[in-house]
Amino acid sequence: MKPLAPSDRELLAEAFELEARAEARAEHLEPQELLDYQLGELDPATEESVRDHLVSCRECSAQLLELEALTPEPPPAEDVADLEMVSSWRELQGRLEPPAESPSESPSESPSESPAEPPAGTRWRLQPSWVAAAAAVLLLLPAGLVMDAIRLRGELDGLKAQLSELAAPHANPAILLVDPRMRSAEQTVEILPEDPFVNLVFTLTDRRFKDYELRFASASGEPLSRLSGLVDDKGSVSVRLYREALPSEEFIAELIGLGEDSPEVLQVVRLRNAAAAP
Amino acid sequence: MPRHAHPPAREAGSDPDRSDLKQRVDRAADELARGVDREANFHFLYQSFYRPLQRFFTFKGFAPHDALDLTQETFVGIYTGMKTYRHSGRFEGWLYQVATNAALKRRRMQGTVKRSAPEVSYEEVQEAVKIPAESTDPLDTLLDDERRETMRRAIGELPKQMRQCMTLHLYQGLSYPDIAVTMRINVNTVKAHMFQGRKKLVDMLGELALGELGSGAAE
Repeated sequence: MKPLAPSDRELLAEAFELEARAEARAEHLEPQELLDYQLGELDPATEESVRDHLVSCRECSAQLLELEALTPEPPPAEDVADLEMVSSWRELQGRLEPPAESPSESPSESPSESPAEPPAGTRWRLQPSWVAAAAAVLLLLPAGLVMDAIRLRGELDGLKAQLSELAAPHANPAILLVDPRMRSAEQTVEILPEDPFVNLVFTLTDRRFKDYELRFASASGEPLSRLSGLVDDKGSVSVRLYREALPSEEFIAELIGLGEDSPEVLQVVRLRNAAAAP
Repeated sequence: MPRHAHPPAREAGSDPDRSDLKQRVDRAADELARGVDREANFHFLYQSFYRPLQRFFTFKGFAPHDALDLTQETFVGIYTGMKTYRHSGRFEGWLYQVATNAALKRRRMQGTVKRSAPEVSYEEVQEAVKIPAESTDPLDTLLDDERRETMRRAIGELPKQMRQCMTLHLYQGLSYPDIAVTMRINVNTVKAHMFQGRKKLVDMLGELALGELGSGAAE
């Protein structure tokens, strides 16, 4: 079989590339130069040389477009809450909190006790301190295991209590499963003051949408805010809502499916921010 | 080579507030580096770049949850590295470096995981992808060379801006809005150049260019 000749389009692209390379400088552009180019702050000659290089260099044009993606956005107005941003900011603050003071060094760790080479002839003799340490380990090991068992038992009881709360719709679950097959939209779920946040997990019965968003409305149906950029993660959409960032008193959260056609309301849940109630 | 999707590009220079916002960003970064009003300035930078950073990582091919995680990592990097920031250039240049490093680090981690994938023999790959050998027929080579030369002559006759728009589209595979950003011109100008350029080339090259260029815009 006769091999295929390059198509006209390939030849044409190659010809354009050669033409572009012929009039461009070879060295790549620095991010700062690209940022100045973006804002039109270069002198005309430099701007032209930057443009010529961009036309001939995929790497630099890709970098320019990435920098374009990093163009700052004006912060949201105070009366429009971007809940995802607020939640993420709280998480970030948690990560940036200064680490707790490290415990002060034990007074027994004096320099004189630093590991030193024992004198010849005594290297393999059991030292009294080693015997004491070994005995302590032997005594403490079972005690540690018992403590662990007690702690694990406590955690298990805690988890059981959380699970039993999940079954009751009016209780206060830290994780709220929203599944239209299991619960009625008429039920109202309370977010109690002691809970800093609530995790909403919507089970998806219809997975044909690419993106999802959560819209908040007052109890009377007046739109309040929205949380976009939610995705289908293995058949469910999860979102963490911080109580302080939520609308006050009773409100409605609607999960909206965003596809190529018009948005569709998939699930509705009524929530009550108990801390904000009079 | 197929290229990843880029952000819907803004028209270059069309937003008078953009320059002002960038100046506010540089000022906030400078004050943060000097320890002035740390929380307020950091929060301002966070709000200004939270969505852009997510877009940046998404366009680099990361899944949404990874993009979110990398956005947090970048802000941690900014906060902890701010002492070393010097107001010698634009803040976004520095941010770009921090974000790119975070992306590279994550890619390396993902690469380590990928290396444990099942091995496929060279023969299996050869069997699956039959790569045709290049033509060695002297007549084909001669014809190709002649076609190349004709095309280069035709391209050389196009006005520079029109030629550059067509290069970005045909060689780099950029969309019209991305070409507008790269060239710092209006997207309608790009469309006009593409239309006129296509017409001129078809006039000059006739049958040669009709196959790929005569059918209309491919945005």
